[in-house]
Amino acid sequence: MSPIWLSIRVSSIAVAIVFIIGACLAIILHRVPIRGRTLIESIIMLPLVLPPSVAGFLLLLLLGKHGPVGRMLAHFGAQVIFSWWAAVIASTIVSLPLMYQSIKSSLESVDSSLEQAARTLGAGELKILRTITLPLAWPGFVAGIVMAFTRSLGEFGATLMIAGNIPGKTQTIPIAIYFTSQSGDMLQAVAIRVVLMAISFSLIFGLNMWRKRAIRW
Amino acid sequence: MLNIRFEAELDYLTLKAEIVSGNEIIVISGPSGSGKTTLLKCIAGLMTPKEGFIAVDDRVLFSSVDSINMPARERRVGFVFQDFALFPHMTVERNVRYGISSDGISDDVGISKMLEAMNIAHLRKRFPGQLSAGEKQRVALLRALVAEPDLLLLDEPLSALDVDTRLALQTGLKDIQHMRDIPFVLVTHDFDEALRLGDGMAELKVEDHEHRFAYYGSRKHRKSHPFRVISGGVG
Repeated sequence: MSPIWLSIRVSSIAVAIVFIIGACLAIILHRVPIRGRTLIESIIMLPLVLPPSVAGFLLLLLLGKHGPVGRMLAHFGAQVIFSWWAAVIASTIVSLPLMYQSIKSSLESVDSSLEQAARTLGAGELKILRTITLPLAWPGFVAGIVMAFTRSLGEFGATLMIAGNIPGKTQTIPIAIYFTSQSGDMLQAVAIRVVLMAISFSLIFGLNMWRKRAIRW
Repeated sequence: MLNIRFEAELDYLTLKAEIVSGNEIIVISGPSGSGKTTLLKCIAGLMTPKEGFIAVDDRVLFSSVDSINMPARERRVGFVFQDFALFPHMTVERNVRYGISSDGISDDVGISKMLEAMNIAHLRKRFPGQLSAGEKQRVALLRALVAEPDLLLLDEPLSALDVDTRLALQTGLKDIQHMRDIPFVLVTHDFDEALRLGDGMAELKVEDHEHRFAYYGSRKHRKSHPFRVISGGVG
């Protein structure tokens, strides 16, 4: 599989996973008063400030042959390390903070007096979430998807650590760029770079244009 | 019939409220920061008092002695917020219909009539962002009334309006209260407005860090003394 298609496939799956995890975490931490919320948030945000290679190293410890998860998987005859699923996991971990942060801020930006008004009108918490909070916060969900996707496309450090550079299997766009540049194949490196920039730019540009138009009220 | 007696702790003061009244317009007036909005939020169930008792007719909404704290959604206490809190992504009609329970008025004719009575029928497909302050106020009021509350709380309902709209709505509010025959508790910092609107006004006593709003009225009393707390020829 070409690096471009592989990257798109890895990023799409990673974003789907990150969206579910990020949305659940953001909604639960926003609505339910949980002790240790700051601690949980700090852990979620950690991959944003850690060098991806450190995140990759931690994943390697966890998923590697001798790691707790790796050993459990080996028991079932499965191996994640150096498969394209490893690239998905790396992308998931590094893009989760962006998704979480984006959804969290959009939930917080919903005026709490609207939710209070709904309560006085007899609405239960689920109805409020469905009819008030989510419809008002959804631009943040879309922004989170786009940012997580572009972050996944550009993921390099952690992916290289746990998925390696196996052409056709785990060689995503950023890894292909690095190794083609290293081997002196500048033409191909530039070509892939242009593709990556074009995809990322159109996504971010599209998001900004759409955001201007989508909110009509 | 209202029976309210509670104490709430705020960051900077202790708020005490004692309101016993029939179905009339009770005005809570006082300077900003005196705890007026907190008082309304405690009655609506959006904040919890430290101790006390809140009952509307025979329904106990809050009682610290009996550990009763009914959630806001079950209290049947309408709330018109200072900034109206209209749902910006819903049309006027969807806003108004939001509080309709399954056993409440749900037929289109009933809603249409009410929209017309409030003079907002022509706005039913508009979004709140396309309304003037006076129109928003009427939508917010109707939205609260459609849910058929037993008590209506209004937080500075007229403060965002210009003088003409304000005068028109003052009369409107009195008429609606008369028709619905439920108690209205209305917060305002405008003394003139308090005089014009209220059947009576809660007295605010300030002692150190304690604010105490007290009002004792009854329907019988009201009939013979329309403006009991305020002396002079207002009315």
